[in-house]
Amino acid sequence: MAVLSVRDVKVSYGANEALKGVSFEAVSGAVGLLGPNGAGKSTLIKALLNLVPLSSGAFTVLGQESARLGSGLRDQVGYVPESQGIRAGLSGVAWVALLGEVSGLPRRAAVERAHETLQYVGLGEARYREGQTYSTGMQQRLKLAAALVHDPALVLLDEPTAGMDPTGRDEMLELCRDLVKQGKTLLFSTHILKDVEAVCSRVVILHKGKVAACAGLEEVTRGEAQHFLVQWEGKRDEFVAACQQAGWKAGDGQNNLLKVVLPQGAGPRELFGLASGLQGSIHRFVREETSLEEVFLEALAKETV
Amino acid sequence: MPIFDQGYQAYGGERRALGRRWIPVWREEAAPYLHKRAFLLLLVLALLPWLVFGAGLSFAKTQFGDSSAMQEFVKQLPPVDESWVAKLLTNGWDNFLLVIVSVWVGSGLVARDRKERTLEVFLGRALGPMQYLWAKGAALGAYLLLFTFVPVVVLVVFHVGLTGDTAFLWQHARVLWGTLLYTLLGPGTLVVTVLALSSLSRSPRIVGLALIGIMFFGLPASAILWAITRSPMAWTFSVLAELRALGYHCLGVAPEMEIPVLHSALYFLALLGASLGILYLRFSRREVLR
Repeated sequence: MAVLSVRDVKVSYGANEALKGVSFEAVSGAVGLLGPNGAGKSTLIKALLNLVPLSSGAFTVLGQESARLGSGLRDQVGYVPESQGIRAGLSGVAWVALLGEVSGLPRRAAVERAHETLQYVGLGEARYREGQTYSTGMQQRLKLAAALVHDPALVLLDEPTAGMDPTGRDEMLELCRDLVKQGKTLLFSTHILKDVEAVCSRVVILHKGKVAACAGLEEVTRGEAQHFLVQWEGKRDEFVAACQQAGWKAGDGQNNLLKVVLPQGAGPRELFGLASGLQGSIHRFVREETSLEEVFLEALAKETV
Repeated sequence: MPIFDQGYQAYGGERRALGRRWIPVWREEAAPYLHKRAFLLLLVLALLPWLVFGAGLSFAKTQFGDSSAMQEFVKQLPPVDESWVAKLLTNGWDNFLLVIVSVWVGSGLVARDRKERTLEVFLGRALGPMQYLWAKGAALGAYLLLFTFVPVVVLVVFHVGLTGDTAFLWQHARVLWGTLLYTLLGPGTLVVTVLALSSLSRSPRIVGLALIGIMFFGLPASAILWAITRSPMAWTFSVLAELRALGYHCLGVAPEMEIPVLHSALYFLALLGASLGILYLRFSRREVLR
């Protein structure tokens, strides 16, 4: 069952249409919400939480139909905002406990949960310090603890690694991976491709308020086409021309190898068949996985065209 | 296993009813002021006229009850009736402190959450805008009660307890219900207005300055206008003057500024309507989150 289903969601800020009919589904696990700045990632998350009004569309969250999340349903959702979102003058534990209470936990349980979640995110030592004195990385983890204090099933993370140093970023990604192991569903909004590759099993690429691509990470990176790196002992131009004549893409790849992209249905057999008709031979042959970056850029290029 | 020493713990305990989620927000907003000495001093100063009068009555009754000289003195004190309560309730000192507390507590109610972007954190949880505003308004309202209804109740309890005059309760019942009506219409409207103003800015300082400007500079402007026109309508520019007139009307006493009762009622209803309108627009369209 889909934990989150988004159907034809449209959001406008005056004349500017921020989301132009976004639809996708998220099953349990981490879903990367990827896109350049201004793609509509934060708007989508805020629309889910009823923090921006919808022009049209609907959500299904944890099997419940909703034009937007009602109060009761929001107990099942945790939210990590992109910027700020920490009350000045309150210690980390007081802030997390307060939000636990707002999410319905009795006072004592909220304080206990606040201590537990702060330990979990690695802020056990700093929990009595004022939250706004934390470093950027600590503040991000404090916001994650606040999002987890009421034990939600779905966690919406808006740029959770923004402004973090590499160590802090790795720790945050490790926490996200662990949350997935705990059975949580994460909607992980970011423009950092490596973060999505590190955490998510599924990716939704947003561009200019539309879904440019949506699939499992493996499916997306493998794609329909097959990419090969070939070391050709012979005339390179002749090999490239033969490939192009066959309707394949061919060109320079990394490490002085040739990159050949075979369409769906064609495989190594066809490649070697083509090579046998030429003067020369294939000395090295490597199947190349498409990186998320390539898929991302390809999706953006398609949209731009 | 995470890189830290404690794993994630699931929660399977009870949850508070949706209708009670505002309570922690209210407590968090109101409680910190009780730890501020300057604020406590302000409360004591506001209650001082009432405390002195109540304690004075008690002292006179218990210590000098048999002294004829003291009895003569007590007789000369103004009677505890609607007229006297109206004067005490709307005196300049109390109104001044009412504004100070409104600015101190009220200016940051929504503006601070907007500035720190904690508003979206609250509203992203199971806390509707109505509950959020109720919690914030209740924090300010609780303190304003200490300047209005609470001292009158204390005074009446003192008076009835010390004089044994239980007939006072129905002979001067308006002292209590009139004060309650004044509290709801006057300071109650003030709370909603402060909330509306606070929702318009991200800066508590700007909201505070705007409030001080509206409250204090309206009074001399109205006084000058009144001196020229001699029309009660001139007081429309002064919330403090209107508040004072409302107090008198609620207690059934003719106000010194000759502001008609209909004018007073419409003034506060219009203020309340405008403030509610602003809050509705700001929250229903989520403009307050931008």
